[in-house]
Amino acid sequence: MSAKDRALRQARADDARRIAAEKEGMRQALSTPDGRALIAFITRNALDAEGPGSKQLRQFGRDILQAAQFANWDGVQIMREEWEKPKQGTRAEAEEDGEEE
Amino acid sequence: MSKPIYVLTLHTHRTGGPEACHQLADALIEQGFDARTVYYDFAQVEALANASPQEGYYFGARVCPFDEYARYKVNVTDAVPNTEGVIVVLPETLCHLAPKFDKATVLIWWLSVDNGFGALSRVNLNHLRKPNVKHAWQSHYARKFIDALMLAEVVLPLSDYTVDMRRYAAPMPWDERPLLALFNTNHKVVADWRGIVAKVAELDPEIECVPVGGTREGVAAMFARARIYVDLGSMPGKDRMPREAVAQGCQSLVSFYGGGQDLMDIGGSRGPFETKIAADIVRTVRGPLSHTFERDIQPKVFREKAVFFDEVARLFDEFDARI
Repeated sequence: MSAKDRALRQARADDARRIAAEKEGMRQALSTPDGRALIAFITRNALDAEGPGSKQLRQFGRDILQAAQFANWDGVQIMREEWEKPKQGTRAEAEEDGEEE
Repeated sequence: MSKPIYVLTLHTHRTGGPEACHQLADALIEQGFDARTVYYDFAQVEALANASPQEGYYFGARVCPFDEYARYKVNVTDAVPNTEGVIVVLPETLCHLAPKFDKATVLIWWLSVDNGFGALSRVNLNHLRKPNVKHAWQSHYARKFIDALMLAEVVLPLSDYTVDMRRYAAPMPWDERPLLALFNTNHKVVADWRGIVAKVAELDPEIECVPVGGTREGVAAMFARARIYVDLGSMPGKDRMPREAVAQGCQSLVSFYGGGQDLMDIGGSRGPFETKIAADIVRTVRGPLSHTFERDIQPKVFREKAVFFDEVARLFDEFDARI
């Protein structure tokens, strides 16, 4: 195998590892209320962009949403429901048992 | 009851955040609060992030890092105690340090949202919801973020203000200004600025499009003679440069995104997309200065300092911190 082939194979392996790590990060984020709130905020903000540059931002929002659906479909459904709920108080009050560290 | 207020300020960078921290310390001292500035660098933050909570933290004796901050009153000190009766102001990039000040009252100042994501990923958000942790927002974008994450029920505004750049360069009268359009071309720009510049050149070859940059004096001089400043960045907070342009008599055009939504009333670009914006730029550069700009937009920027001082007094009076 040539040096070029080895480098290409290494790059592909690195890429696969990075994608797997990102997918796992997304899956974990969507399994916690805070992670879901954060992803919902970023996504909604990008999808609501208007004016110059907004096309790229809305695409960014759609990409996040798609990645989220691949990583944790159920989490995305819960995220949607949570986002629509009226927000009162703090999350600590809303969830009396709190979250794990 | 007097409470010392410690403002943690980045020592190594001359950006909007450190300037805002200097403005806060100055406004506090001017209004009779006991404000103390503590300069930090990234290595110290890293060390502190990995330490367990202590009675106090030593940052070292430093002096004001940049000449242009000399205009702000600051009382520099070298350490921050972690004790009751002390208020510690952390910019959003240090929000992960809030648990280290578990005995003090912590005020997290959300000067941006996006720049705080790195720190956010390093802290359990429930630490930011504790009763001793308060939140203040610089832009409505930050406020929406605090609400979305349910970090606090009551949050108060704490903006910043535009420095009067006329000391660096006197603004030219509108009619004497050349047909000059300035563009922000840094990494935060999300729009296709090259495409917009090409379109402007196609529509009106006499208009000169120039990327803005350089020293503060240089930027002030550019704003003092340009007719429009186009900033289509990602706006992590309510950015300074569009406001500085307005203060120099240069009209601004900014993204309707993130903190840019707070700048809509000084130069919003909610409607036009790339294809239309070039025509808007040409119209603005070629047209007369609008009455709205002189009557409403520019005075709003000049009022920012008074508004900021009011916000500071209101916020820290809530903490009963005045001497």
